[in-house]
Amino acid sequence: MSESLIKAYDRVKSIDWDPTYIRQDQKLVEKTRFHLEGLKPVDPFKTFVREYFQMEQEKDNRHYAILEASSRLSDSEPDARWMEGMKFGLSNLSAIEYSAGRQMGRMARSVAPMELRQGYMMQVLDEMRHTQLEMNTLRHHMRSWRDPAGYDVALRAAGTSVGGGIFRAMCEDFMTCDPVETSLGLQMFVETAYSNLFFVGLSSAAAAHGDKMLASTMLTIQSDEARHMANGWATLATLLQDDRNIPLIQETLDKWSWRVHMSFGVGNNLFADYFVTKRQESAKEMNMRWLFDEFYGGFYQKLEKYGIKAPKHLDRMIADQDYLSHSAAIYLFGAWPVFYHRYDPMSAADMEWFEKKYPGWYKNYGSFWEAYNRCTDPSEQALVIKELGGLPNFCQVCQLPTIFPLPANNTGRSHMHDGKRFIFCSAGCQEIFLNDPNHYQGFQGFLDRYDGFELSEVTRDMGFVREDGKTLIAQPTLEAKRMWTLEDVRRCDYVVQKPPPPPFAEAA
Amino acid sequence: MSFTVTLAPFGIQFECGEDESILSAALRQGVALRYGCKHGACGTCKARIVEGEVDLTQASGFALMQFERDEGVALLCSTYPLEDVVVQLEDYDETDLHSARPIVECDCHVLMRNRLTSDIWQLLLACDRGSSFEFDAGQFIEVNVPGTDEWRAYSMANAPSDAQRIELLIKELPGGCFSAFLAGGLREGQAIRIRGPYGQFKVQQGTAPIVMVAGGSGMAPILSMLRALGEQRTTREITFYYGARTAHDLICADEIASIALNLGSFTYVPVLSEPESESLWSGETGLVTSAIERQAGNLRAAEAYLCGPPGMIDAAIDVLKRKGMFSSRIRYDKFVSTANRT
Repeated sequence: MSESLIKAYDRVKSIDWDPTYIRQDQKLVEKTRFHLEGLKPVDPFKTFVREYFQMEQEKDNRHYAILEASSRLSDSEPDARWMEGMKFGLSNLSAIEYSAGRQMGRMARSVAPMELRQGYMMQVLDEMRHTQLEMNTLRHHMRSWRDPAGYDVALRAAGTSVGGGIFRAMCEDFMTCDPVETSLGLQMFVETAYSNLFFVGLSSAAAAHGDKMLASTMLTIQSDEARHMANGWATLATLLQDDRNIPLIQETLDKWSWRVHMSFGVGNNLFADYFVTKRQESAKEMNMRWLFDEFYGGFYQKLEKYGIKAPKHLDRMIADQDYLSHSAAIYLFGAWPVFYHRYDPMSAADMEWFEKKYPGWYKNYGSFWEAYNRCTDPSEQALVIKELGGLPNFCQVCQLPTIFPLPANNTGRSHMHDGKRFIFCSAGCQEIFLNDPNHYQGFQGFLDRYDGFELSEVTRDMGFVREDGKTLIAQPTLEAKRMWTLEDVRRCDYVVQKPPPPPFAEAA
Repeated sequence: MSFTVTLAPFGIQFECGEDESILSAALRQGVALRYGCKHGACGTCKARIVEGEVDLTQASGFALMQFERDEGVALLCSTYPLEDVVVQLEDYDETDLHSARPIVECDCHVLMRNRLTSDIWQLLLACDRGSSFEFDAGQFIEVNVPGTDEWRAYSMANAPSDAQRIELLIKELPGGCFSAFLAGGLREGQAIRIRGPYGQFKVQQGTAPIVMVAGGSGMAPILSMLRALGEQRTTREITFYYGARTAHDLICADEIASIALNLGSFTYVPVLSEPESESLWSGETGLVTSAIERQAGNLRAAEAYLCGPPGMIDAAIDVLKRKGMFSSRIRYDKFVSTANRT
């Protein structure tokens, strides 16, 4: 940046004003427990609004030109497993981006000194742009994919589905926690730690599976992420100037490393391993390289000189890489009637690949897939979820079922708080709860709403039914001789029931 | 074929091979340019090329707009020079770049030559006229073989604070041109020319426990690091595994013992592969890597510095990773004889 631009930038900063119509304390409705007084914020990037818009407009122009061309050209059909999985994936991604925009608006309002505010505000606009890009991809897929059912309800489904609850709980935590935590959690973990993993993994997988629309969407989004990482680093570098913030930062990094591991991280692994047919690296391999070696190994070391230690549950997070996607897949496939896409069961070739990439996979998960394959034809009148003994418990914090690391050997636990029993998937989530019980104890999950419902009633209540009012949107296979109807599910007579709670355990 | 990349306004220069991006050439040579994805998609490494032709075709159209390309903006991770280029950096501080120390040539003379073992020599040089030679512990220099155009690379064993002298530990290689000279023609007071310092093998600041592993003359940079850490009176936990053949090959034992007095938490683990008489040697035996296997616990939070022959380093990396160490925290300097280098 030339000297004159730097001067201009400083001049722009100097025209900030204090409003006369509202007091500062009324304006800052949310308080942070971090110490911000007297800190000199690091300016993350000197970008003018004028340049910002020029850049973003050209990005949009390019992307929508691809969308337009792709909708007119009837070229080869994308991969069906991928396109069906994206009904679930994209609906949630769009919701996450929208919530990120809200989070940044909150940051800009509550905590931001002038230097950081500009960055946060541009990120608000970025996130809104990303949300719209993903909504347009959903719309494009709805018009062009051979089975639009599921894409048509995607945005609502992200809010109502039991799978979306994992991401929704994460986003709501971002929006309601201490506002400074939001920056560390979102920008340091979702956008820095997981960024390469997510964008490289998802956009190259989209391209490999013929989904040019999503590949282009991911590329245009990724080109904004560098600024978001810079926002996160600028916030952290500013906070590190005051020693009193160090223990608060440690606590926040401990919380969000685990929180994102059990939400965004699970989703990432699940998609990388179970929604692809053109297989390259496993989710574990990608995680070991991008997330653990580069972020927890490399990036975290920069923080050591401030006295920041590796997150408390890092060893478990690494050990989880052998199980995360597989246990999550059992849940996602097992609960198929309450989702909104067609499932493609794992083939012999998939299983062979899993056994190679994750030795011991068949011993842990093979029996589930055998049971699943026996229950795909509606005339058999068998639901895999019933055959396997019903739904598990769900975690009060992350909303995942308590089946990690392995369903048969999980770390689910109960805890009494204020005379009420709460259930957690792990010591990590239990600690998060204990540090701020008021934040989580009111959360209602799937079982709170649907305990005692016959399963077809759940599907009907969620609205995941096709236009004929009878056939389920979700199907356990890509191509069935006959599709499952609500009546087929009802005949299987599975009533949702809270399972017995796990034993009590103290947090580690 | 390689091209020279100049970073304006600092005038920092480095060489970039024709199949190498400007970013990877910079990082390889210790110039800390900023980067994110390293594959042309995120835009973190954006900078302007003010002179010279480059190939930018691998950059994403979203991360690098056409109007930016028209103005000479490039993503350094996806920019391949086609001739010498000048890159204009904005918003960089020269200290951010942690630019490698400038490479200088320095006239020295031999202070002392000392045979430590059957095949390792200690060579002490002094800079002429009391001048000093600045380097970081772990770095190496090239020494001109007197009377030839040949240069040979050796790591310093002295602490950087001891800047008027240069201490090298040199393994004698049969037929090696410097080795032959060392064993034969070299005399005290003889003029000798060096250049450097080179290399990125340096101790990272921080608090992480340190594992050091060396074999043979790989002792040199580790000794330099230990000396520097001793001067800092560090309290970091340090474990040093040193592999040698016999008890006679355990060089620098006295120096290590005296450095240990200044280190808060230091463990020295010598490992002999061929102890002459088991009754006299009560320490670790076998390969240095098997000693790490036996002694080290979970190394997730630790970092490692390895120096020695490539086979030892590769084996040590495997063991350290199995013990939980992140590969981004394993730093090493492979000693390869010049004869095998090309």
